[in-house]
Amino acid sequence: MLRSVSKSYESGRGATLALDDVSLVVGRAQFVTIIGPSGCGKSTLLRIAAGLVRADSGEVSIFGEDPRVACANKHIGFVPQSPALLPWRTVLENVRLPLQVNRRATRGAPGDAGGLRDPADILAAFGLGEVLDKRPAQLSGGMQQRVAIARAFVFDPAVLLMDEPFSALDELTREVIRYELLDLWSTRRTTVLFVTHSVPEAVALSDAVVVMSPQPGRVSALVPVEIPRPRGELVELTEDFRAIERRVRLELRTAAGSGGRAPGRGEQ
Amino acid sequence: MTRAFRLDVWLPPVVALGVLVLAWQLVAVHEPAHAVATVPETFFELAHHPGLYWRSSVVTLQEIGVGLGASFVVAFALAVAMVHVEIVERALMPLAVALNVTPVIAYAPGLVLLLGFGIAPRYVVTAIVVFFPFLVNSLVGLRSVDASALDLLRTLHASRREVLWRLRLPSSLPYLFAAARICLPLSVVGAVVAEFTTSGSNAGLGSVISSANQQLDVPAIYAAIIVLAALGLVLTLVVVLLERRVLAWHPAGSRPR
Repeated sequence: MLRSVSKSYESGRGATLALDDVSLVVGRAQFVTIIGPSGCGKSTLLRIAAGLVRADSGEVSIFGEDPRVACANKHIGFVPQSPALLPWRTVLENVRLPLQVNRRATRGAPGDAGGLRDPADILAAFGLGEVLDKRPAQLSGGMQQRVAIARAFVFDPAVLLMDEPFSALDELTREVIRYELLDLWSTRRTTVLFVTHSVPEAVALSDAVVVMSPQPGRVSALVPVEIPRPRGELVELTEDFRAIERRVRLELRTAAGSGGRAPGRGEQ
Repeated sequence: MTRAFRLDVWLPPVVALGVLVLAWQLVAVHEPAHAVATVPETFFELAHHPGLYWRSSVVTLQEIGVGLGASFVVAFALAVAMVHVEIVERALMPLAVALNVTPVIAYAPGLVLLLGFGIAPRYVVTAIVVFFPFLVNSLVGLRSVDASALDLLRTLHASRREVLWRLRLPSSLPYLFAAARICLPLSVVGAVVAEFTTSGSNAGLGSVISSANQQLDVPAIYAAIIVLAALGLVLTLVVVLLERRVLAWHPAGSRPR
């Protein structure tokens, strides 16, 4: 939950307001996507929620905890834009990493008995059972990003924060991996805050799409996605999907204003 | 055929070495003042005093090992402190730069006066010569971490020690091996310079050159130079092989194609 969050950055030309009075509530087990043109502060918003950046004003809470406390308790899973895999570790060792650091928090986690997952199992469920002992450099970009997602799920965090995790992938891989993510998510129903530039991705994944406007970043619309789950690739052919997609695009155009331009279909 | 037995791998350096030896012999034979030992004279000297060159090599190797090892430990520990406490870098980096730009030959006699004519000043001189490259490379290596991986560890509330061991140290390994490649030849220079200024007990290869020079024993000078070159080559080879093994995951650790 974010309430009246503002954040500005110092630059050569004075302070730039990145976020202005942003409020957002994400319910448990919800998948919420933030979309908006470049410079609308969506990544800043995610970094504030992850405790990586402090807001200048406003209130941020991860189910009652300050983000830094949530990090200390390992309640936040973070998937950055690049896979951020450690090249000297194998795939399995990379996925084990969250279990190896800050072990005190893992031991105390309520899900210790059944919540934590076997890294090898989660990798196998993600179609990576054959590459456990490979190093990241031996994998394709899509496989590396799958490993990064598996690493985020492995310690069963309360909230998953994903910062354009598919932006470096080709469109075909992107379409496949988004439904693999949905499959994995449906087994855990972790609360997810997902940042993307892609409208179809936002609609396919989410329970709600938050549209942000740029300079300064504000929430300009909240579009609910009332399409039944589970969703597969065919959902994108349905009229409901297309209607919501059209609405998100319309909201994006409004948010971008006369000087902005909304992303086209599949644009990253 | 494995790479080790491929002709195109071995032939070029062997031919280049052959040409060099031939040129050396031609210069030595035609040099009227006999200031250059011939190839047979040099190897005759080596064959007749193997004990002297072996013992001297061990002494020089010991100076290189202790100097290099101590320097690396201090430089890396200092780099870790600098990465975590900015004021340490601001305070000590100018001193390290001053130490680096001062010629080693200038302060070596002073170190001998301070530490005596034993082997201790040689360790110190060798350590000082390699200190700065180790410090700078350690510092750059410890800072050259993937920003996203650092973010990830921060969201997991990893401690500084965990970040150091799990991210910063492995990330810095390519830089540390690059430093080792630079520092090994430098340490040989440092050890020989130290021996020039501290000749006496525990004669190393530098001391052999120094005393042979005074006695105009030209073959002994060349024999010691050959042993020094071989020593440097073997040490470099050890580092390259170690690098390939440890940095198998990194482009620097892979063989050239």
